[in-house]
Amino acid sequence: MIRELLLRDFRCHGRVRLEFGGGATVFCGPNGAGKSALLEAIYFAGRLRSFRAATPRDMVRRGAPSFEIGIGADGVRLGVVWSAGDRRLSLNEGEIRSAADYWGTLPCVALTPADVRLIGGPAADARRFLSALASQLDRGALRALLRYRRLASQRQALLAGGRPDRGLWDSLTLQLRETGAPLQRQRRALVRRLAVHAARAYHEISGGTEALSIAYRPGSWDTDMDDEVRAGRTLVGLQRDALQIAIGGAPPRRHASEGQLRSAAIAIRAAEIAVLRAAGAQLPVVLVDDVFGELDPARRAALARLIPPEAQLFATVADGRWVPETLADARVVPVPPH
Amino acid sequence: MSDLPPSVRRLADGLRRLPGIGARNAQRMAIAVLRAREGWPEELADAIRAARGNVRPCGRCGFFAEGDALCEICRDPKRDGAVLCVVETANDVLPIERAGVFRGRYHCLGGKLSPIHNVGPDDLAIGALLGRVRDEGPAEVVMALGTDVEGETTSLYIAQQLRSLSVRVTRPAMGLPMGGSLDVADALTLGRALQHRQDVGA
Repeated sequence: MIRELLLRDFRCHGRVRLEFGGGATVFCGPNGAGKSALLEAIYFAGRLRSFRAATPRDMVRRGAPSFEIGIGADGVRLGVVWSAGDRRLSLNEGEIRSAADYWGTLPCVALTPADVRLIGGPAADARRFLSALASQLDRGALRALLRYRRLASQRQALLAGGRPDRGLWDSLTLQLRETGAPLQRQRRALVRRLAVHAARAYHEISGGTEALSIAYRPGSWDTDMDDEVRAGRTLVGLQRDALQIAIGGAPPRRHASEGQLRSAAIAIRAAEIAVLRAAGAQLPVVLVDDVFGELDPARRAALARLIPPEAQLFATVADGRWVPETLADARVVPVPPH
Repeated sequence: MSDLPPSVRRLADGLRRLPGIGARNAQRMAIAVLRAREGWPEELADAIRAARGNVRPCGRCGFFAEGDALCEICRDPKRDGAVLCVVETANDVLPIERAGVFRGRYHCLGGKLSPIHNVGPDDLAIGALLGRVRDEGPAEVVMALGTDVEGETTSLYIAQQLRSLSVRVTRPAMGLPMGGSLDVADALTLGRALQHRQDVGA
């Protein structure tokens, strides 16, 4: 559980020190006051990226050279200092060299309005979601993924350099498959578990009768060097993975309503929390950014029910009336405009 | 604030270029050189000049050799010519020698394959290795490269090139570190170790 959040020059915040008890914390304030940035900082300390489409450079306060995030949680202190070209990570005051040794210390799940991209958006978003979840569950999977990415970039460099050496292409292809195929098997099992939780959550939140189904479509390993040379990029493996999502049996891209997409996005995030919880790992910190405001009261209450009561929750709302009744004992922290 | 005279600073700046030497250490070393009573700093300067003048890569294996001669390992008749150990750089010979188990000969590639850094097969001593395997006819080639992506790629590539030469290609076993317990091993290492099990007491 997060007890303390320290910020320096993060987004619009100069210096901030906040303390938290257990339970839910709701940051309430007008747009632009920096309440989402508080959630973003927690997420960044956990996952080393933003849940918004933003680079670390975007998160440095204007005019400052760097930002700093410090988190005091039960039994562990995390620190991130980011400046252009340099990122320093620390755990319990000790410097951590490799992100793989740091990742997973503070598992987080964020729910944001942009989550609808998991369903109707580009396949790359769904792949990133799967990679992150698999890596949070198992540090070995993260190491294997980092190795896979290194192989993929070596292969990309080879394909970009004109006519590749056939033997070198073979060596890289063999390893890409050896590293990638076990990751795909893991993901297949992971999506199967995820789908069960998501279907249940979708039912809860939509109250409807149509079902949400999710299936994993692994990228094929059949490949031909000439095709790849023509395309100038890798055409196999994890880069070709996809999540096949259907609402009421139909692909949502064309058939789903805005409300269905939103419910499905929330259901997938709820499933992510449930999978992490079932894995017996540390319960994730749940960050709900600007989501309560766009739901009707029934779905707002359903979402509040889907979040495990023992998980630490941080939410942002622009209007205090949007806090669900079930979170009546939440601590509401006003964030005044700057 | 006053500083050391320019010639001492020049010395310290030179020492600082050595690996693992920071500014403070370089300054302490420079002062130790100045204070030396015996002539060891002059001898050191001579040794540096001599080493730089005489040492070049061995014409056969690429390890450090003096003058035009082959290196000590290539000249040693007690070395087993049936096993050839391929390493990335000449530096990598030393830890293997220290392990004291390997009695064969070496071949230094001078790097590893990395398309990202524009290093291809022609940039390494791979052609020379194929020539040696043909001429010297070893029974086994050990690929002792790193287990990172580039090391593995190089091992696989060379193994492929050697396939037509009827030589056994091996690599050092991967597995659990000595004196470690299972829960400290990462999943990749543990997986490899379980794939390549060995008989107990064999």
